Amino acid sequence: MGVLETADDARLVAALAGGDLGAMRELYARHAPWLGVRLALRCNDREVVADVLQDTFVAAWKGSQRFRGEGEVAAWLWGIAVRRLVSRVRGRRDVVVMAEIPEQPHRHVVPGVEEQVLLDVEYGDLGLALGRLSPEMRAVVQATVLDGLTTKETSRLLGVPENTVKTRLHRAKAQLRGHLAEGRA
Amino acid sequence: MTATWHVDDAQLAGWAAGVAGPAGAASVEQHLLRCADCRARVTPAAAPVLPDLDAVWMRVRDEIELPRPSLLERVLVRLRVPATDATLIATAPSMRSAWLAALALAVLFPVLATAWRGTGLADLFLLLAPLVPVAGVALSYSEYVESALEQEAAAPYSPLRLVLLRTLAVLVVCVPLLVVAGAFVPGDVTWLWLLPALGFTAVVLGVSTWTEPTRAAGAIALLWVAAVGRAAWRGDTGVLLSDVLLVVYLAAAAAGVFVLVLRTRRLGTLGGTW
Repeated sequence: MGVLETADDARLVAALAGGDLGAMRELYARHAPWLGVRLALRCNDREVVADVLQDTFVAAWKGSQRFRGEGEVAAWLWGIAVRRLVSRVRGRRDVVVMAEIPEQPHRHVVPGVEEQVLLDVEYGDLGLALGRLSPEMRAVVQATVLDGLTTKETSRLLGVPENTVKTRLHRAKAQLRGHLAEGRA
Repeated sequence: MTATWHVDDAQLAGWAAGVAGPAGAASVEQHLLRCADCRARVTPAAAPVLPDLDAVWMRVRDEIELPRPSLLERVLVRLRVPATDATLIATAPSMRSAWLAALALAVLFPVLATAWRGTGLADLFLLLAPLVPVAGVALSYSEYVESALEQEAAAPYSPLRLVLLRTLAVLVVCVPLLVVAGAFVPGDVTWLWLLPALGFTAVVLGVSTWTEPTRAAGAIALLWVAAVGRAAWRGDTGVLLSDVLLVVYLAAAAAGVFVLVLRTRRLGTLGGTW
C-alpha cells in the first residue's frame, strides 16, 4: 500500500506535472473504467473509444497544470474526454453516437428505498417524458443539457448543422414541458 | 467529497450495460462525477464496446514517455514537413553539429583561396574548387561528428549522393551568407569561389536521378580539369571566374536543383531526405 493509493485525485494530478508515471498509473486505474463505459455508451466503435480514452489521458498528462485544483478531477477528465470524442467522430458517418434506449424497463429487483429515488427519476414524469422524445431530439438534449457541450460541439458530434441543433433543442424543451404538464394535470 | 447516498449495484450494472434509459443514465453519470466510491465500483465488463483498458494504458504510457519534439521539429511539422522527416532533420545535436562543421569548412575554403590568390597555389586551388566543399562536408560527417552514421550506412542509398545532397544544403546556406559578408569586407569577393562547387554539385545531383552519381561526377570532373588545364596553359586561370561563366554556374545550380526537386517528387524516393 503506497502513498499513491491513498492520495486524492487532485494530488495525483499535481504529481503529473512533475512527470510522476506512478501517479499517472493510479489516475488511470481509478478513472479509465468509468470513463470508458461512459464513452462506450456514446459511441459504438471500440477503436474510437480506445483512441478517445488514450487522447484523454495523454492530454491530462500534458495539460495537468490546467487543472487548477477547483472542482472534481473526474469532471475535468470527462470534459476533456467528451471534447476529444467530438473531434474524433467529426465527419464520420459510420460511427453511431449515443446508445439506443432499451424498450423494456429493466426492473428485475424489488426497489429499495434509495433505488426508488432513481427509479422515480427513470420511470417518473421526467424519465417518461425523455423517453417519448424522438431519438434525434434525445441525442441533442443529452449532448447539450447532460454532457454540457456547446451548440457548436453538439453539431460536430451529431453531424448536423448548428441551426438544426438549436431547433431540435428548442422543440425538445417545448415537448418536455408539454409532457410534464400533461403528467401533472 | 463523500456522499452518503450511493448508486446500488444493479443500477450501476444497468448503466454500464447501456440499459438504464436516458434519465437513469444521466442520474448515474452525474453522481459518478462526484463520488469516488461509486466510480471504483464500476465494472466495465458489461459495457458493450469497451476496449481493452490495459492495452489502452500501454498506448498512453508509450505516448507520454516519448520525448517531447524539439522546437525545430515542431516548427518543421507546422510547415507541413512529414513528422518522420522532421525527426530526421532535427535528430538531435549530432546532425546539426556535423552541419555546422561542414558550413565552417565551406566558408574557410574561399577565405584561403583569396589569401593565396596570385601565388602558384591559386591554380591548384582552382583545380580543386568544386571538390573542396564536397570533401569538407564528407569529412564533417565522419563517425566522430555524426552519430547517425550507422543508420545512414545501412540505408539503401548512395553515399556519394548523400554527401552531395548535404553539400548542396551547406552551400545554399553559406553562399548567401558570404555574399552578405563580402559586402562589408573590403577586397575581393571571395564567395565567387564557391559558385563552381554549387553549380557542379547541383548538376551531379540532378543527373543522379537518372544514373549513378559517380558517372556524372566523373564526367564533370574531366570537363573541369580540361578547362582548368587549358586556362592554365594560356596563363590566365581568372577566365574561369569570368562574369559569363559565373552566370553559367548559377544557371547550372538552379537547373540542377530544379531537376532534383521535380524528379524526386515524382519518383517519390528521396523527397525530404535532407
